[in-house]
Amino acid sequence: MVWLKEEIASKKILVVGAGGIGCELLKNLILAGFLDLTVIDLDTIDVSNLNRQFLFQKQHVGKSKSLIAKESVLKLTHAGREVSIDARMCSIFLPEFSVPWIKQFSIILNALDNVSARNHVNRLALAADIPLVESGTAGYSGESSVIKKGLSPCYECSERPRNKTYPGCTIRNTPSEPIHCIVWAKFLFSQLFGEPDDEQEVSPDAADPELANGEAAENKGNIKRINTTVWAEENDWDPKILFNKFFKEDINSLLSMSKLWEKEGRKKPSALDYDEIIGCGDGHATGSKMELRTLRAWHKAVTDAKTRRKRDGHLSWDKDDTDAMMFVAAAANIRCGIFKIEQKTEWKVKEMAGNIIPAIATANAVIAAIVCLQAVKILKNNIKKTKEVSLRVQPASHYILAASTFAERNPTCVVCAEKPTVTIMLDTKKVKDISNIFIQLKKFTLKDLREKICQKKLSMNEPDVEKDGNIILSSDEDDLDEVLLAKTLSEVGVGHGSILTAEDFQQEFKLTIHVEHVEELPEVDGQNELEFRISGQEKAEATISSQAEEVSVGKKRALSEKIGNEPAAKVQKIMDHLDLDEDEIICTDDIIC
Amino acid sequence: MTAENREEQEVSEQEVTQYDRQIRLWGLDGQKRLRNSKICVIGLSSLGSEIVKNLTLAGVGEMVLMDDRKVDEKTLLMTRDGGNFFRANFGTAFENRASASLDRVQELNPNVKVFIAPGFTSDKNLDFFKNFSLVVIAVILPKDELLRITGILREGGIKHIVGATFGMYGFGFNDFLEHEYSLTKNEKTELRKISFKPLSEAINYSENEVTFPKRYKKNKVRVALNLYEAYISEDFKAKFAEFESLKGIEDWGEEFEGDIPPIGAIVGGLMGQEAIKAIGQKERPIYNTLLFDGDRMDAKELLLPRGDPKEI
Repeated sequence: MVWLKEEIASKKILVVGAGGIGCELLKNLILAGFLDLTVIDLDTIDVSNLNRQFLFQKQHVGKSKSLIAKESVLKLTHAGREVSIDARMCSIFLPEFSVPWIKQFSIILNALDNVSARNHVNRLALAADIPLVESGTAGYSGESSVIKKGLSPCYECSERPRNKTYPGCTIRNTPSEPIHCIVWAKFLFSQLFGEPDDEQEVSPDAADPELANGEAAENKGNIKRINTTVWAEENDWDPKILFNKFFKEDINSLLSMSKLWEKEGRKKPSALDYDEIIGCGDGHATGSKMELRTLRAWHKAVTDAKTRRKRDGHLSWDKDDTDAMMFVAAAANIRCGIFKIEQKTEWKVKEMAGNIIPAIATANAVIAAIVCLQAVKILKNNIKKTKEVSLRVQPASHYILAASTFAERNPTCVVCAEKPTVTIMLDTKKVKDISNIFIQLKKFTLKDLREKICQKKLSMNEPDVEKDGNIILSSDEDDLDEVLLAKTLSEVGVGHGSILTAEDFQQEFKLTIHVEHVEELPEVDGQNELEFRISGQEKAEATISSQAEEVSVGKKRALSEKIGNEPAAKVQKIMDHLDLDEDEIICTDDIIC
Repeated sequence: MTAENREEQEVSEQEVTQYDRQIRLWGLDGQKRLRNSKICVIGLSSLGSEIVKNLTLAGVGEMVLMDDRKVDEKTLLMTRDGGNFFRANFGTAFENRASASLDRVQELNPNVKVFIAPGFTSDKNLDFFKNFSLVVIAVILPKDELLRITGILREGGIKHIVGATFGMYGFGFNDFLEHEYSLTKNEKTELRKISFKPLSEAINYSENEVTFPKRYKKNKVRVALNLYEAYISEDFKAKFAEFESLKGIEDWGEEFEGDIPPIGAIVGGLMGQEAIKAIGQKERPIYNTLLFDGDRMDAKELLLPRGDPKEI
């Protein structure tokens, strides 16, 4: 066996993630002879990991991935080799994992499965100027690339697709696809058995803009916002009462909003009645076989979840929790039936609800080993010999594993540009319109600036925002009081032309935000109006000459070393679907309908 | 249990839970074919153990390990055991590699029946191989022996894969006989068929006859073909010495003897997936030769003795 010389083997390596790629990667690093590893993973082991995460076995289910991975991989060390593995079961977002902390490592190897954490590590790596090897797999496919400040594109140079989002009113009022009913069912589960947040509303939405001018004024019943969680508990989660509330009364409320059903091609829902389906105990059920079957599934799912809720307290949604899955499948399929939407099998519902991405041992093994090769090249000061590598299910242009040189950097990247800048268009003045109780326009508050823009869109962890040297939003928890957070942007002096500075101390990341006040944003997809829109730095503006040079050098390299007819951008594109997070809630209020 | 009985085995609920993430890729029918398959892997170096790991995790029915090379004291101390990561560190001296690996392989997946085949290829004939669904040869055999074994497998109608790694390079050859597979594109599933060539025919090439797309650099092809020739020649070690100057290997120290772990993992991952294609009959397999270049970090498909694999 060949292994690396001591000068390489003794470098400190940080591995972020001990899952599919992480397990394979740790094995490669140990077999190659590396001596000083740190591995971080928050997650615990699930049965569905065992088809590929080979450092884990059945008896490890429920235990920490990082700790078990360490225990298992140490068995592979060569006799006489003193290997140190610092395994931590925690989140990479913790403040202790700061830029100075990152600087102790010679290289960072990401083995993550979600965009948020990748964005965060990307920033830490750029700020600390430590090379980062990025990787991902999805089914048969996979990719790996190297991120080095000033030399390569950073992880955020290209737009990464986030999970698809759905407007709240489609979920609550007018579902037309199975996924709409599945998202609704997930929310219902949280409403009934968990600790829901106010973005997971399931009742009919009277603020639907399709109901312009308060057409639904007479339908007072559906305006009354009852607290579903409290109500369900008061009724002891009685399957019949719950059924009739969500599948009869709420549907009737929706039907009474007649404007909703005028749209061409939209099918009216039909309400269901528990007793009618089941018959009144005389065996003369009037429901179809399908209805009876879904009702029985509902009955069992509600009862099982109720037992758990009473025993263990609030439940949280998890795709690998069978009770939660059964409930979502039953509720989604009943709702699909009501709206005349194709019903899905439990298996498929799980995939859609959990946003499950297929994963296999072979693809993870190949990509993790590529990461190891990239790491050795970097540690040998051969970073220019690293590649963007992509694995396909079958050869394209004869290559099953294709490699190309770095793609071009994005000079307007909001993260790695010299002076990261974005422009945000939004209505800074919008306030709740109380003249019409049915049109409840959301006002855009400091809380929204913090959560929706700084955290969700700009991937900051604990943002501070300043305007003209004054802090308008602090990351200090003591300063985050509800009264201040409820203020609109105009109330704190932010308006058209304002220039804000947003900063994340941990990420050592600073960004300039130009605010453009607009009354109305252009339509998207013909119907959904966004609450705000973010665009990157304007072209060329801040591209300093040295950067421009690097870009053109990068471009030349890319052109001269294109593999087959496959430019790097295309390689990138193949992997577009790799970065979706499993389990992420897939409904948002960013879109008001 | 006879082969016929195994064919009846459905995928259990426990297996559906464990294999959830892959059944979503190749379906229950693909998984059923895997769980009813019987695989023999010959050679448990880095490459062989990676293939064994991948197929055992995937849930094949039976996994039979064959490698009678000794794991000796020197191997353990010098860690020149070819990168097999199954063997325990101590207490296994003087056992052969297959038996030293047995427990670890079994641990990977209790659903799989793992066995040791005593001896090596030289004492095996069709009687031994006839019940296997797939045989993987992940060890360098003398040319005559390689052709004898692949000849037997052809005769017995047994799909097989031959592969090896050399320094930063790796190589794999598929012979899936008359192979049928399904391919799903835009939600439509098509059935397709490929006729593979036997190894004896594939190695019967002359360099000038092989047509490659223009963009393949000539010297790259030479290296590939020379490695291929080296692989099947009787004096592999001597020929391999000619390639010591190949780029990339200097990163990994001065000793070129033995396996570089990530190279085994990459070629073993690619070949493992080819094995799953052979059994699961999903997706187009590589037709018929795979060459991996660890310096460039790419792997291409080429058709030997001649031709363009695109034409299938």
